[in-house]
Amino acid sequence: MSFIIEFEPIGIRLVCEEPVTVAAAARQAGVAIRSLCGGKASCGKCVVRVDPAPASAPGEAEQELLAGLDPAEGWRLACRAVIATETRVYVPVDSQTESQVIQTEGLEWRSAPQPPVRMLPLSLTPPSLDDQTSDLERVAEALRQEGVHDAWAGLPALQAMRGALRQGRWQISVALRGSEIVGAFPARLPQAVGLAVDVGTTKVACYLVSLETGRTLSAAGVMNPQIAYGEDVMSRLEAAMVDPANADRMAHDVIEAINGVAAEMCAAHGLAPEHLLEACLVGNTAMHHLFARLPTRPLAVAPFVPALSSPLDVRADRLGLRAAAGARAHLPPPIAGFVGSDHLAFLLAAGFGEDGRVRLGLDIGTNTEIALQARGQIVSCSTASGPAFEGAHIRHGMRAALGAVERVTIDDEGLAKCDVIGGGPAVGICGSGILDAVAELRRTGIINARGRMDPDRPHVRLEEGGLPAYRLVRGSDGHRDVWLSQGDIDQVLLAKGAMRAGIDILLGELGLGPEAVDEIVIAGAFGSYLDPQSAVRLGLLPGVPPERIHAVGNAAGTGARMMLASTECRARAQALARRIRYLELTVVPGFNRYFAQGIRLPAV
Amino acid sequence: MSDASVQAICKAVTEGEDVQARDLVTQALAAGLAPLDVLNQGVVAGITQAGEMWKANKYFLPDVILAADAFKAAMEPLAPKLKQAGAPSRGKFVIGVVEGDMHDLGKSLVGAMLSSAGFDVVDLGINVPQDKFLQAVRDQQPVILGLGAYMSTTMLEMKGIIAELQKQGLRSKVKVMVGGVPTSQEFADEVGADAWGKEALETMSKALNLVGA
Repeated sequence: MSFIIEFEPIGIRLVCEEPVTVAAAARQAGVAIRSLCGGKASCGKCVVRVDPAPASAPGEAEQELLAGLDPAEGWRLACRAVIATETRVYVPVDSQTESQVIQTEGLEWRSAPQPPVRMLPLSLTPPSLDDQTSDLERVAEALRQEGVHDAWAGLPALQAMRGALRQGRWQISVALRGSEIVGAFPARLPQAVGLAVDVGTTKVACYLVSLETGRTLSAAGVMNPQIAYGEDVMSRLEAAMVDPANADRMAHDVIEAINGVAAEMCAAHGLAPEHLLEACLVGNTAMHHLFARLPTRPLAVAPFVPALSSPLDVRADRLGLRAAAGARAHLPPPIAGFVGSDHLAFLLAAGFGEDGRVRLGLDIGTNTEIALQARGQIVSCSTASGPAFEGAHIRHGMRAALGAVERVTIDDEGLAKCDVIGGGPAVGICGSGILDAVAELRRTGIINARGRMDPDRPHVRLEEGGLPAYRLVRGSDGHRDVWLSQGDIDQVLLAKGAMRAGIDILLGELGLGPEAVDEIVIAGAFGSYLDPQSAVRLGLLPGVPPERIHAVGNAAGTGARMMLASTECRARAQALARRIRYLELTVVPGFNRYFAQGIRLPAV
Repeated sequence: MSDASVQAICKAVTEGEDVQARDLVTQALAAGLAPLDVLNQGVVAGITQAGEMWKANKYFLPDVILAADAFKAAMEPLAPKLKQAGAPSRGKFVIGVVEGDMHDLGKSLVGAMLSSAGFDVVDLGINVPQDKFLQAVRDQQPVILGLGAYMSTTMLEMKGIIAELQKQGLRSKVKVMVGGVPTSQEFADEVGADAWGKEALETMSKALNLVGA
């Protein structure tokens, strides 16, 4: 059963499928709530008022941090309050961040954006026997009075206009894309809106955006139904290779999922899908080619070449998207076979290429895309990191959901202290927890620089097969223990080794060392939860001071929204794309050495 | 004297010191040590020890990568001398990564292990087209053909290669092994391979089984 969370005063509505903490929901919706402790309920900065008050009462630590505010009135810490039903969350000014630059720049425009489509209300004289001018010419003449010359309409828009004119008794709103009429509606539409979508491999993030102000009206996520054909990109490409009908089905399925979510978001604002005047879709190159129904086989094998590396404006109905009659879907350019327009959107939103700082940007997932900006250049690469940081291939790994260990510290006796999402018993461990755990195991020497676990330490047992494992959580109340095995550690090391190799190769390409890095920007859910200190301890990130490491949430979603609402942003993105130099890691000589180095753990 | 030399070579290979390994081998050969001794007690002993440490969870992938590199470096001055000396071999093992696939790490590790087991490894490289594999089977007459793929999209090539071997009447003349991250025993059975190697160490022992060692 899905439910809506509305964030005030920003006014963003998030459609949710399962119980979620306020902090997690806020991140998904692009609402910036302060957190100094990374969600550990120790800084007290994320105070919000939740209406209705959540079912579960706050714990002691939370009560203390609420400092007199009454939980019965809904005052809670965002990182601890769990919501499972229709709720309104009020974020006081003190709990809002001011410098989550990425989020706010995407949401509030400093100056009016240059929208691709605008609405013009027209009041027309009805035809008569003395005036038998055709519908289109009548409208075109009225538009000429408004300064729009050579207005034209394609067949679908003309079909819509015919009915709209009479339904609206000759008072209509015309949606104009340049001089093209892409939609006609009886009377005045409440507002001009468009749809921005970040088509992720796992989760598809959709946003309903005002094309008048650039503000986001609603956000909603849906699992990508293509998961049925494979969890990762390669499996889906393989499915398409094995049977072209699979490619058709995958395209159809993801577009239908988007249509469903878009319809829900529209309805929540008293609108319908026909009112979506423009769309903008970003995604990794495989996702892009799949929904655009471009042949994908060349992406699946070397030399991994995309069909194009420029933007594409397609009729929305050609993609199967439900939108206004003549609406276009803008598809920003892919960069390379494994670096897509989602990465470009991230770099746009994070302001890459706009100053002289040395900045590293990472989008961590099953594939990790990395970009380095320095010396007036931008270089980029893609590494197959694997899904270890999403909990896959880890025995007790899971996605970040209720019951997942998300923070770990290990004391001098080798005993682990774990923070669990939702505060209840631990059921498994998620990406940020895995990162912390391995970093702590290294810090305490339970694993050495090779990542080998010492079987003689407390809480370490030898398993059948002779390999050691470390007990993170002793199960209670019928819940099982949560263990981290040598094999789990190996998975993490392989993942981070690939990512680190990518980073080191890019730095080497521009002749820089880690000390030169001014800022590391991490996109994606994992980035929002990871502890920068753990990431550096693990050697995942080079040794830069933790305060130079910033999470930017779903920056690809922000970039998609920017490019939806502003043609100026589209031009900027295109210029940025042209500047990016992609490095194919598989042909870098000595890649294996970088990989080997990347896998090793730093000295404590 | 010679004992110390081969021990030093063994240590250099195990510890991944490629430059040192190559230099020590060159020196040992110049000093008149028998190439076979340098091979078995020095180089092969070194990579075998690395493999054992991997099995014993003392070594992990980077250590094995470096050891394999050192093994390769050590073999450079040694291989020509071995040919001259007519060293015995378990037979030729032709290995390659299929077309469209650029991953060479697994192949390097497997190649090193197979050499250490006494096979004469003919490495066709990465991104190898079907006819190059076929040509190699005709020309080299190996006992085993090893196919590697590291992506689920490229491993599909293997079926075609084996089918082509059949078509050209070569299938019965060679054993075929397949391996690589996305492969499995099930996949090996499906494509008609004789054996599947889960990782480098297992590949080595299964290869030995196939030649009846």
